[in-house]
Amino acid sequence: MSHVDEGTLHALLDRELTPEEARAVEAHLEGCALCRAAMAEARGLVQETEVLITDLDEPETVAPSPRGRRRLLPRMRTMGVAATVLIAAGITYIALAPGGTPSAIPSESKTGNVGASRTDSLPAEETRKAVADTKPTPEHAGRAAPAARRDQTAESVAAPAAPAPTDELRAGARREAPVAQEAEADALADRAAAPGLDAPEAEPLASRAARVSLEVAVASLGGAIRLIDGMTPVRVDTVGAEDDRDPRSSGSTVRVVYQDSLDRPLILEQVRLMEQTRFTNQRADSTPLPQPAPVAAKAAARRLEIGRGDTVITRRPDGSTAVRWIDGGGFLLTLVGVDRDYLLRLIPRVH
Amino acid sequence: MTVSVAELFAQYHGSLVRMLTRRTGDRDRAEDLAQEVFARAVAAPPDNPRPWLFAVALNLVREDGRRDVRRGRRLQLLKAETPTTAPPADVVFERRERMATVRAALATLSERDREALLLKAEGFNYEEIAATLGLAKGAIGTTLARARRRLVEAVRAHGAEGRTHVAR
Repeated sequence: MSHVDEGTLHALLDRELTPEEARAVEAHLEGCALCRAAMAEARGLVQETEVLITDLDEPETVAPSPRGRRRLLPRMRTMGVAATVLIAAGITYIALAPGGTPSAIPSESKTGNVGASRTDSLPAEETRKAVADTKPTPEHAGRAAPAARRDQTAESVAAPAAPAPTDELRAGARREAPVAQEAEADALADRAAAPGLDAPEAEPLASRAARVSLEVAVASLGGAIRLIDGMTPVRVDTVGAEDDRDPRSSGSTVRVVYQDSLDRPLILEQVRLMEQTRFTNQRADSTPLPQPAPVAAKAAARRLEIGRGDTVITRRPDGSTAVRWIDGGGFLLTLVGVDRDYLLRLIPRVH
Repeated sequence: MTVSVAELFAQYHGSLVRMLTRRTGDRDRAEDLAQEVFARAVAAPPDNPRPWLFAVALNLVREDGRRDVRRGRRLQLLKAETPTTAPPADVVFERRERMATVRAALATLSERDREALLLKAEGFNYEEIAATLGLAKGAIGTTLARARRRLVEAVRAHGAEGRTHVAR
């Protein structure tokens, strides 16, 4: 085999080669120092680019704002836009439905889409829904109106259960055994089970983690959940780590497992702190959340204290990093992943 | 299978606005463009939504860019006349400086390379990037390799330039 071109090396790093192609390239790399050097350089470029692209994001979103107000503004704005889009879209739909086609539609997508029958009653319905979603005052969206938030969140993560065409397409293109990736995510998820601050004696909690639907996870957190904006979870677990809880926590610990753009596992673990349960329990249909067991308080007392406004970064023995903070809605959040800078950049995207 | 626009919005709006903000450097403009994209999605519900939404968005950026070329040049001239301030110590300002460097580096890339990079950063696989940009899937590895190399080299060159300037 002649030397491997740079595009193929990048495709290998991006997991876009078929298993046969990947094996052939890897076999060549074993015997070719030149290509190994090129591979190392390509790996550096991939990693560096990933960081550079996130440098394009707004600086004020680097650190989480525990005061909440600044963080809520973009959300309020987004929700407003959601309503506007759907109302405007309804009007556009009425205006264009008889056969008008917008100019910027890519040519390959034009055919077969415009006349799709499923739009019959769509605009009015969607508009109502979007308007309903904007009702809760954003300042209290996470607690005073958990029902509305639950609807919204449940909808945003419906994808893994019913994969969109793109997901199917992606699954087909990747050709990597998804089982292997999931196993990797599992491994890190298990390591992440003791969230953020390492208790050396913490045992693996795999047996106590249960995969659940998003609705169940939302319910176990008292009607709201935190997710990473723009990312689709691989799966959601509840963790029965009784002795691992913060003494102020209530309800379950929920672990949302993602993959970053390099398919490395990324865990968002969350639990709601007790003061927030006052709000959730005001709702007639919410079940009273269990009080933390004494053992939980004892175990948690050994741990480093974390308060609102703190961001605690911990390097874990396995080389991963855990970032832990409490958000404006009373969620104790732990983000575990491989790349520390990337985790810090993700914080403002957790809503 | 088609999904409702509300679902598309919930799933892709954040990612789309982020990509558009990175592309245009203007959050407000990104929001406006995203709004237009979803309005068009209602008018013509896409079968393969993610590539479709991002392709429409990038087309709008290009159309918008052509309109703004003259205005943009004038603004750049005005910007160049603004007196430069001492290097700020504050982290936020450092970040802003870094953002400007990366933005300038990104601007040196070809449109295709730039778009491929931004789509990859949104988690697109090669097939989706190819579908969005109207390229052959086999060309994406090479495109990304070139784009990554140029971006990193442009940032490094800018950094070296900055150091030289400070040293004088």
